[in-house]
Amino acid sequence: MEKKKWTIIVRTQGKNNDLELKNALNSLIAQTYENISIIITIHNDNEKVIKETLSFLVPFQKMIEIKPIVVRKKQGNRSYPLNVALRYVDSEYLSFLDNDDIYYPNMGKGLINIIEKNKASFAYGRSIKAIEKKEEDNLGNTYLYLQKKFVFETKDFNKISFLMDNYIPFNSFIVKTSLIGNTRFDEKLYYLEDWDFLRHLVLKKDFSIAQLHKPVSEYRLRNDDTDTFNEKNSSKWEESRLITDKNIENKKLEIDFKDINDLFKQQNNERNQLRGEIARISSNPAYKLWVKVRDNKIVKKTIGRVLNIIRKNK
Amino acid sequence: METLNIQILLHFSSKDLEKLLRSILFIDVENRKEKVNFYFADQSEDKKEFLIVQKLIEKATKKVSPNINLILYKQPNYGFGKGHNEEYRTNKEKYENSFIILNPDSILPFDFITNIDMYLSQLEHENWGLLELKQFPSEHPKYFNAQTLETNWVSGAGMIINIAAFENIGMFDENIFMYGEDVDLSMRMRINNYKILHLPKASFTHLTKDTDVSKESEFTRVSKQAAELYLRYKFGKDKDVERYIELIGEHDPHRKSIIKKFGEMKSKLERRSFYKDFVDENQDYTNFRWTL
Repeated sequence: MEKKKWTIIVRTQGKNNDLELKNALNSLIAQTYENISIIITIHNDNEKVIKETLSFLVPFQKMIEIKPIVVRKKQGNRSYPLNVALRYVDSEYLSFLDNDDIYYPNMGKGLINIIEKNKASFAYGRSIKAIEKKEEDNLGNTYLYLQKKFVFETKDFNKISFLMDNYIPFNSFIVKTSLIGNTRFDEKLYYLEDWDFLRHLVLKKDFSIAQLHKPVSEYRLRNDDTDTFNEKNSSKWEESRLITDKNIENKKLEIDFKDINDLFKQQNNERNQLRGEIARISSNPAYKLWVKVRDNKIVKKTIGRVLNIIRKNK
Repeated sequence: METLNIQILLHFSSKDLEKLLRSILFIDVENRKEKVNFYFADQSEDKKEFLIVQKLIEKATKKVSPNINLILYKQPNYGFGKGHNEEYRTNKEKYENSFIILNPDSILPFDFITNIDMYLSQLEHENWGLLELKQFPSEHPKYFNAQTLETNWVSGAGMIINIAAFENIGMFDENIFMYGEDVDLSMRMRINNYKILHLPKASFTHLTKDTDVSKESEFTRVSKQAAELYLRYKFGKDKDVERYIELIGEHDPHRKSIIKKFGEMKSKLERRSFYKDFVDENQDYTNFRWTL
């Protein structure tokens, strides 16, 4: 029996295609789920970049169904291309991927399986955070050097905690398109458009969730100005946070006792974990010694004097 | 550019092979005058499985570029190292300067050959022994120098082997049935002053199974840990072996099988060669086993 169709909306601005978009597309080609279609939005108004990106896609289009959509940049911010792409979705399942991130081969199969098994409308898995650095080797080739990988901090889903804090990365969920209905990404938002979108879905009556405790995707960061979040744009982040909070201000919040109970349990667990950590550190002989040294009056005075000398010399 | 020869061992791999063959159909070899030959050696020793594999390869042959040859033959279940040595011995007359070995659970990007050609031409005058193809999406958790690309060892899931160096160091160690033979080959390349390099732009998708060590089969667990002991014995000192036996622990349910298998491998080893860099200062061995 043919599997139900899964569409992935890939968002790109046509930059670093060879280093980033290439990996994103290869990760879709490697999916063990069959019956996939891809919509790529090229969000740029530079005709040269658009042309280059379209021709970059040609060899991939031989291997997998790809529908490129050009969205001129002047038409809006990060939400706009996603809304344009949503008009073209005709599949049962939907997910999103940014050009610099990747899915693991089990993403589609794993999440769609648990959606179907649990009769859910939404499923998410774990994401791995990878820190990369642009490097040039002695042969003159540029590539991304993987510096570090770690599991993205995530939690067991709870409606209340999710409305307060986003712990579901954009590239780690699959949703039934029937749940989306008329919900769209808020085009006023510079950032947090994904969380705002998810908050609207979570508040819907048909929303039911399944969780896969396995890594399904990789969220890739380069620790430079090309990352979505950096110090320069922090004010725009704050502004976006205010808008998204306002968006759900008057929404009806259907919460049952189980949600509250689960949240209470979750917070209790976190508190106990923290207490355990503190107890472990406090019982460490080296820590005990450090506390004695730190609280010693003579040592305190000496440190103060040394710091004063350093300050004066500066 | 040289004719590229790619060796692939199959062991009940028909499911993976289907995906690999599908990706071979899209490989870009249009601007290549020389051929790309894929040699598939089926080690399943099972008629039904061989027939499935044969059909898949016949089907792909009809669609693949005329520049690509797909060659299939049977081979007894020799394991990894001996299996590749045999493939090499059978076909070496057709090989030029190097050959490639690849796992069947791979998906090749369309620029796979283009990138390999690029590196082979850039490294033409380098004294390299092994070149590692980058595994995607999960790279091996090991160090490589970002500029020189030098690394400690090269994974057998995808590597290019320099034929002169391979012959010189005595090919794969046939005492190892599976796991660790790539580390052993890398060690001997380094002992003989051949460079071993990681190629970040020559990547392929490696559909690795669940990497959760606790879910490994008994065979995998025993083979990997016996290989670890064997490599420590072969290149290290007795205390390196003793230390690892301590790490396995008294209560490990596989302890006896691991030590027995190690004993069998050890008895066939002709010569130990102590290698001063056996333990690398850059590597955190507490969380990482070489043969993983």
